[in-house]
Amino acid sequence: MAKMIKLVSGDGAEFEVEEEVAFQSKIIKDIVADADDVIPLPTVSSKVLIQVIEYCRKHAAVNSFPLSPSSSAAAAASSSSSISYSKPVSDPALRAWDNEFVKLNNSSLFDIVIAANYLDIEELVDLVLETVADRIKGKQAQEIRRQFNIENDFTPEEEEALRRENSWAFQNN
Amino acid sequence: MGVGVSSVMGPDGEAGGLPTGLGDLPENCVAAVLAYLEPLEICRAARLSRTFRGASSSDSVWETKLPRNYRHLLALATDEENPYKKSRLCKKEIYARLCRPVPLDGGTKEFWLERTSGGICMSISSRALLITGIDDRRYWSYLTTEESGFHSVAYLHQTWWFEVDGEVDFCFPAGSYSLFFRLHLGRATKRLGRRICITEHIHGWDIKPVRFQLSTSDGQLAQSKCYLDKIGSWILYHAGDFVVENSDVPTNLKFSMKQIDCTHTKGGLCVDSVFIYPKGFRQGKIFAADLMT
Repeated sequence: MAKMIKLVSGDGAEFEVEEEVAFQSKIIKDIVADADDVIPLPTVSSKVLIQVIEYCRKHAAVNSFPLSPSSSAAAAASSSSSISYSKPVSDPALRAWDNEFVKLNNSSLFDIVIAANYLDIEELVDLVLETVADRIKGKQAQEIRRQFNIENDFTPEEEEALRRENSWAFQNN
Repeated sequence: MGVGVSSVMGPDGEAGGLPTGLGDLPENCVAAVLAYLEPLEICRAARLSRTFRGASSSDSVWETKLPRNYRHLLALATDEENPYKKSRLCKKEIYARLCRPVPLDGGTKEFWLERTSGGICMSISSRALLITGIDDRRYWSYLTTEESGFHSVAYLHQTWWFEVDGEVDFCFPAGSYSLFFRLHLGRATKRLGRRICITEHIHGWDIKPVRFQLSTSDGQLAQSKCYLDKIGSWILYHAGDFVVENSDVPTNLKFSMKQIDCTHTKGGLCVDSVFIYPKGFRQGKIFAADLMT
């Protein structure tokens, strides 16, 4: 019988998940080690927690039942290594699932990455941040500001100083 | 840990209120996003807001862009600036510094970081090459020209034995590289403000091909041959490729270009310099040589 962990969202909703699913979060893994099976997450709303659990459930399943030797090797390597970046997802089917998963508006993505950062779910943090980077790539500053609601809080002097400071990047050799 | 929690939860405990914005992300998350971008885009993103400016200068971003042996490469950049200042550069400033050419061997060689790819490039002037007969004014002379990064090229009037050898000892960051000879058939000069090409000495290159060779201290060897026939422009002739496995071990590279069939003379050629670029990064016109089997 799979051990169940109870997660409680900030708005009071309770979610029972299998231990291996919850353990995708390093924080939860550490807390449970101290013998605590009910974990309150006051800073995470139920809407976001549902999405995070969905991700963890999918990735826990893949880690337990690898489709190919290479994906299981990658999973084993990433769980035992102490490097600060996670290895890229090698299983194409899982990558495709991930790409579908992140088809959300920016605000939802940010909610997820804040929660994943808090829960220390490295692969999910990387997935969302890379998605955000893809949405920034190749765009002009005006468009990025509009899309992400970024306020230009520079003074004209600061803008000029920044232009000079970074001019090396725009020069031709 | 996240800082922007207020926008995740509305006051009634439901997900509502203002949509979560990029500004709600902790700076380390913004830095992590920027790390996925190329250096040019990171510098552009710095202009978006103060948060972006801060994140774009973060060491964690630029550490991923610098070559593995950047400390060694920076040490080679002995500037007029005092060494104490150099030791206090942040990673972004190190990247910017390495994008400016660093002279080696009395200025006869230069290396620099190619700012978009982060790969190391090198140029080796004709003064650093061993050219057979270079001291004989019947055969060779040096011309001053703005068309060379070193402002001087070796010009061949004519010779039986055409041989140009070079050697470089350098800690290239691990990766694949291509070596090119930058050559020009004919001598360029200005008449009435316009560039013209003097072709009177050009001969002999259509009889036999020029042979290129490239070898490394760890046993790699590349050989190719090619007829020189493009008159009037600078061409990068691809001599071969080599691979570096370890950034911390110096690679000793020997390369040469020869046409030593002494049944005919050849001449009318400018030899500017040798270029080494990361494989796949190309500049100028490239003439592919036939590979020897």
